[in-house]
Amino acid sequence: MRNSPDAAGLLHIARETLLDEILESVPEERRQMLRMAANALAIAAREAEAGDTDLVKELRLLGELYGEEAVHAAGASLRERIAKMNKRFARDIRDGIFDGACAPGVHALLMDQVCARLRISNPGYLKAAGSRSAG
Amino acid sequence: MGMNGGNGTVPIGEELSHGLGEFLSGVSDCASLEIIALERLGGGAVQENYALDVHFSGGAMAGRHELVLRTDAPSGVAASRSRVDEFAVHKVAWEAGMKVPEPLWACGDDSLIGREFYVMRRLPGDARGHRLVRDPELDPVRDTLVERLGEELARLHAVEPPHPALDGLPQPPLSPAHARIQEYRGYLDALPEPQPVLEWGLRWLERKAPTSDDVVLCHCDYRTGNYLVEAGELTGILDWEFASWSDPLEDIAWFCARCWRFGQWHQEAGGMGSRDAFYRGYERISGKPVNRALIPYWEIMATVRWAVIALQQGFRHTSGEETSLELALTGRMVPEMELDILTQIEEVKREAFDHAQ
Repeated sequence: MRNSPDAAGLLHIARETLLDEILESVPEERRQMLRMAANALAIAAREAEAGDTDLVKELRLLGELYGEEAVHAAGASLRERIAKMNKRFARDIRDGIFDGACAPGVHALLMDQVCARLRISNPGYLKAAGSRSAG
Repeated sequence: MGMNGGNGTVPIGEELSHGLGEFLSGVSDCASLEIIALERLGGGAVQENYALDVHFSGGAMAGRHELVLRTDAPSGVAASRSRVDEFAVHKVAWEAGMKVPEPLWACGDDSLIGREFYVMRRLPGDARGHRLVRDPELDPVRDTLVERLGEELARLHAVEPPHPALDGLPQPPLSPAHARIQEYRGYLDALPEPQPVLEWGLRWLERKAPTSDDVVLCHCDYRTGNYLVEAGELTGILDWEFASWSDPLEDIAWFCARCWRFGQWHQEAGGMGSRDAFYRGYERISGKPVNRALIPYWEIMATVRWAVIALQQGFRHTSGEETSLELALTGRMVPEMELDILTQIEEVKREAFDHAQ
């Protein structure tokens, strides 16, 4: 058990304090820097909230591609497995292993990885892209 | 990438100003000179630019001149030319009649001020992309501006290899597309994390690589942020450090790629104006039509390149080489480019499919 507020809660309140109470007192030419710092806190808060959910899903999809056995053999921890499997995945893509019939499935898997990362680092970009392709 | 370097007067050491003075005196053939100001200009994480004001007494340059001294930032980044090679390209662009600051002298001897440098005339204008794409005063002249930028690019692309002054550049590649793919894979291999999405983009680019009809002198960073605008007029094209022999479509697509529109997505030519106007200017000077069918290919190449650069910048932070909030956040922008790459590939496939129906 940890104390409350949790990491995400702390990052949220730190960000609010920066933007609501500090920003105005900062000289104009330094404000962009402060907004960037607030953005970094927002990304970190979303990442803390998401926990390992995305990584678990990513590993499951890699498992569908390579088989559960390969995933288990890749390491003991979630992060170790992800790192090894992605290394293999990247090399196989370069070598043209996925050029053929499985390409659409791989494309979908990659899209999934990218969207998960964007929901953390810039959800607004993902939303704008969604409305762009819908329009 | 701007914002790293602050503005401000740099107290130049006795030794530095002595070395610079000695150099300027030699090249200008003056009786004496006074360095009135040497002030760091903002922007440029890889190069440093200084506003340099000099008063020459006697010689061809007699009088006061507003100049720019361009030199390497202390931490150099691979893939950019040396200042002396950059000066050579800059000079060729000037001689081709392009709107660039007049290049004056280069110094390849790093014992004078501690680094290589070159000197050019200083031009008025604003290069800041975020400002330019949103400045309401430019609204009436946006298409005129990008048309001018198209013309300028076509002037550069008229320079073909071999060129006696450009021996310092790498040999023209047989296939610019394949050469780039190999280059970017090399950068990825130097980074610690695997990048499946970028590998996917590169593999697609490899399979679809076009043969290039022309290999010409390319700027290779021709985009909003690297030209000056003053009172609605284009005053100069800057930053020649990445210039190489390549496919002219690479420059055209880099200018138009989504990543260089500074959020003004609908202004497809650099966030500044319409693609039609940009192509119109280009075609008027080159006398050749822009191969529109291949632009999406080179725009995907552009997005991959920007993603690789963003990864490198993020790594500069995480590796501890240069910790900075801006570099850290740039690393976190990579999925934006990745989404664009996947979407762009889908669009090209869909268009090819529709075309086949």
